[in-house]
Amino acid sequence: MIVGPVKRLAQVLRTSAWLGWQVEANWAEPWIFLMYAIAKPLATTLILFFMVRVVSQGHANAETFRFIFIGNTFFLYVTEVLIGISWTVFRDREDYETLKYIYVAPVRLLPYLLGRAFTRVATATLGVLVALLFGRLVLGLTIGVPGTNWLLVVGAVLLGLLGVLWLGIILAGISLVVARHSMNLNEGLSGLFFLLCGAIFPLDVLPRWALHLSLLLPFTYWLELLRRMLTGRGFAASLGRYGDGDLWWILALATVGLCALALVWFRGCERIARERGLIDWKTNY
Amino acid sequence: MRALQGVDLEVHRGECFGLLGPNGAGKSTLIKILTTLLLPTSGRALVVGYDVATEPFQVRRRINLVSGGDSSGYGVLTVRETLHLFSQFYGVPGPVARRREEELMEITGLRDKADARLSGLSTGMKQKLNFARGFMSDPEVIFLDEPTLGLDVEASRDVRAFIARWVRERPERTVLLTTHYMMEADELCGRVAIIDHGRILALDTPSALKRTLPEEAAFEFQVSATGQDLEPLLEITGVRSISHHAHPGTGAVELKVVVQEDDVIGEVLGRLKGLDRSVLHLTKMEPTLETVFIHHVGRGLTDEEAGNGA
Amino acid sequence: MAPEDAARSSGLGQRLRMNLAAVYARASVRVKASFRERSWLLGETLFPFLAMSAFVLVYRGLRAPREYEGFVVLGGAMIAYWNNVIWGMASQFFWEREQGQLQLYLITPVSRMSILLGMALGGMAMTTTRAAAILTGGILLFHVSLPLERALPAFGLFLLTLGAAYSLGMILSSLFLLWGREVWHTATILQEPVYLLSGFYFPVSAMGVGIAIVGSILPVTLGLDGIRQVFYGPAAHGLLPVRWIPPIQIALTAIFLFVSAVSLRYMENLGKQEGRLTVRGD
Repeated sequence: MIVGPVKRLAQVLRTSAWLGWQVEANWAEPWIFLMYAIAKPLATTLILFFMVRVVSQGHANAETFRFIFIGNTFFLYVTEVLIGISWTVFRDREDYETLKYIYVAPVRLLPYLLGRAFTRVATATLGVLVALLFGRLVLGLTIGVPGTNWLLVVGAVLLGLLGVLWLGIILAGISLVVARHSMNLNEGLSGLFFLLCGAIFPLDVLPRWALHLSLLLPFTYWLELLRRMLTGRGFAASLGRYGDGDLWWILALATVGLCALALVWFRGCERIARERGLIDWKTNY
Repeated sequence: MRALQGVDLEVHRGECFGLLGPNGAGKSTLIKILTTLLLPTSGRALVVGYDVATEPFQVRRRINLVSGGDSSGYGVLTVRETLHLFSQFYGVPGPVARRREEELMEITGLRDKADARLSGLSTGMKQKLNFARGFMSDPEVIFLDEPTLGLDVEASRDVRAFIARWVRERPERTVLLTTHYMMEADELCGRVAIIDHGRILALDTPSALKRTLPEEAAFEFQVSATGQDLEPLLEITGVRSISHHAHPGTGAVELKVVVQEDDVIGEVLGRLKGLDRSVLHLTKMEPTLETVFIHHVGRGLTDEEAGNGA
Repeated sequence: MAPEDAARSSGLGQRLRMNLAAVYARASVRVKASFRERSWLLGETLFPFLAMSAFVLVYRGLRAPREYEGFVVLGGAMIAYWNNVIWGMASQFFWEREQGQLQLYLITPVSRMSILLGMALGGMAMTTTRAAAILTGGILLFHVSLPLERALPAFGLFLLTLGAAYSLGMILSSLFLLWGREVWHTATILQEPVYLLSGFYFPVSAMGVGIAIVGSILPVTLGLDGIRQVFYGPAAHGLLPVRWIPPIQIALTAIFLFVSAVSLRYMENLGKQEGRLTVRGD
């Protein structure tokens, strides 16, 4: 009784992940794909490196740069995966015109989209790993401290990634009911998170009202937790009152909350799309 | 504006049912509702006994859809990969899927292109692939929305032949077809519904629909060129009109007689003999679906109105 | 068509008028389309500002002198124009080809450069809105100081930079014309590396003279370096003396324009020979 649906879910995830791989990664020579995965994180890392260096009169402030580096590197999951999921809806609906055929198949859109996100997760992971290696080998950064539990680091990354995926599903729901040019809004949202999470600066420089917003975002706690695990110290004084355990709890609860919200939200958006006949909408003008 | 109102129809299992209507009549809206792409604002629609609004997943397990004119698909995938991909979304076991891929590629003439990427296919080829995709799940009900739209004559014939064969070989399977082409509906459908402005205007077998036309019958004769004038035929009670002209090839006269009832034709034959005209050929002219359509809708299929975008 | 149509005349004046009309027509369509959707305006102004703000706050977090925040704001405004060069102009022939409309342009009797110029000018309306939003936001929210008395020379340098940047864009458009998909990917991949090499967020000299000179092949690099020097003097860590920059930009413009005229003609002919100008969805 249980094996059937689980097996079917696995089949849908596998098939959509395969499709995602073909569409996102397998269209080009491997080196072009590799460049896609690493050019952006490396270039952004270097931009930040030189920004710190020029202020420090030629010597990068290694300790501060380490915090900026970690935040910027792991934020790659947000930009890649968050945008990737909602982008899938637009592309399937309007470029490939396949969304309606997938929709009329006995496949739930939600696992389909999660499967399609697999390649984005893989690409982001590759980018993160290459950036970490680059930071360690080229920029000479120390990643991790003697007490770092690497298994916990992986756990924290996965927990944050789950949050990103569910937020991506929320955006995908919105994408189902809005025109393609609203993609700008999704990209803007990613920029807003980049700003509010303090990915590349200490939260404390944000104006007070922005800081309050920042404390509502799970990614704020995620990046702080990763920084503490990998450097042994926190970056934001505003989060100083939270212990590591608190950050874990906040992150876990936020992920569960996002999951619940995403499930309800996506269902609602799907219903609106079906009520208004938007599954095969063409808005490319 | 309501795209559909008061539509009440039942399509039987094993039937090939046609929906005829001009642009904006509501055909596509109906198909969208039945394929779970659109929720009805009111009323109820069941497919294979499942409510499309409340049990969409049960419906989707049993149906498939082909929208004609679509050249949709992922450009990086090959023909074979595309067919396999969609079979997996329906949970078709691997060996079965592979067998169907081969069969469908053979039937649609895509075998030579099996390993070609979609981005390199012509529009016609992509449409054929889209058609094949619809049958990969061997659905209990297939919705074909203008399946031959944009295809060339030969490809359209192949598609029609495939549908006819599929229906013949699988008597439990049901086809719901919308088309602009009357001949297509006449050739394939057991019953057709004529729909306009969201309402069903007529619903029956093609021959029964033709019989609903005013009770006149038209006969076409070929009679010998020599003999007396044909005008006295008009004196026969029940003859409505006659028209005639010489056939340019044979020199025989082609005579068209419209009579009130079929019985009158016996008297016409007798009178022709009296006029020294020998009858070389006689055909009863059947009304076509086109005539039926014009009779019900008041305009031809391709005459557009300001539609509701359905 | 009336016999006196410019298209049928070989007179220089007539052809000039026809090309100017083409520039105006292509530009006006884009201007109208840009402002048709209110949400686009939001996306084009607020979001780039947010992205730039994060980099301003990096300097604030580092307690850097206030001029550094000005560097980022000026860089953010310049990015808007550079993106218009690449995505609003150079790549447009590729998009037109994808949408099956390229042939409509190619069969017209006007110069390809007029159409590109029309696209560029049309895109500049939205780009300027974006850049203005970044500058205004920077001044109002981050209290970035841009001394007004130095605005005129800075604006002159900015115009020269635009001339060179858009001329380079025309060369790139010829590459997009033929190798659309490949060039598209390359441009996408190189987006952030260009931000790095042009020093959009920091003085380009910070990378060392060698790398900075390589980056200066892109006109925006030197343009931005010069504008920062005009506003902030030695604090801008300039790469070249500011008086050298205008002649370099003028020379680059002339070279790029010449190369683009040759290149566009060559690529179009090559495309015709290979039948690739009307191929879609490759």
